[in-house]
Amino acid sequence: MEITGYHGTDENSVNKISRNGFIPSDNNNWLGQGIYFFGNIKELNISGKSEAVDWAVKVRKFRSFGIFEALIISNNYIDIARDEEHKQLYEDIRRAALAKHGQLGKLQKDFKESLVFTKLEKIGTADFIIALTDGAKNPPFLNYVVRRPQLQICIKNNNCIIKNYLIDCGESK
Amino acid sequence: MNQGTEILKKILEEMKSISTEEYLELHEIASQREPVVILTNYDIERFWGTPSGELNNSTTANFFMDESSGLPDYKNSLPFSSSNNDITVLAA
Repeated sequence: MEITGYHGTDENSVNKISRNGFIPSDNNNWLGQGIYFFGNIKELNISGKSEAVDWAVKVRKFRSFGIFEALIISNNYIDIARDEEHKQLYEDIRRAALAKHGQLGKLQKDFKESLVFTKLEKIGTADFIIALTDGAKNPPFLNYVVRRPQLQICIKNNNCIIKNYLIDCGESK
Repeated sequence: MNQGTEILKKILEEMKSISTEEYLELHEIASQREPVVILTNYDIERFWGTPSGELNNSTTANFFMDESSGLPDYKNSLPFSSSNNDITVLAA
């Protein structure tokens, strides 16, 4: 699979990434430890680059930001956004986890979906994970009535980033 | 062959028979993480209101649907801001 991802960051990190490449985030992020990119969702006219800019300016509130575009290639991936078999398997996993959650007398609203990715990290993982996530969970979008679909790409193996370019820099207003 | 499929199958098998101890451990670790909501086919159909599950870029208001009445469930569509009563339907 070949996919293009967009990564927003601050001015200092732009220089570091340009010199030394990406450094994986800690394991507290959505899909676990990795390097995060936004992808395009053509069906919804959602631009990965715009999402990366929004994340840098509105979520992280960086005064100066840069956007990297990366070409990601690997045939060892998990795609729970578009791969029908992967989506079905993921739904079955979530259903099994929810069943256990209920057996323990816990409320559905307290279910932590990221435990699936914690389990995934225990078992071993693919080079990258693609998932359609709800970005409305992130500030400053908390009062959104609508959902905010985002295509998240979490890189677990840096070697699948084949090319990487700084495509935009700017100042937040 | 894509190992991702095999990894997901293995997780599914283990999740079906997960011990209480391991589940609680995963739950505890997950509680320390940023929350994530994964949208899959079912979610897209439900949240975007397209019966076929096809993505619909003309629908900008994607309320949870009340499955018994088939109408938008406004109250539960605001899980992130229960005090927000300013509801605007952007598109039917």
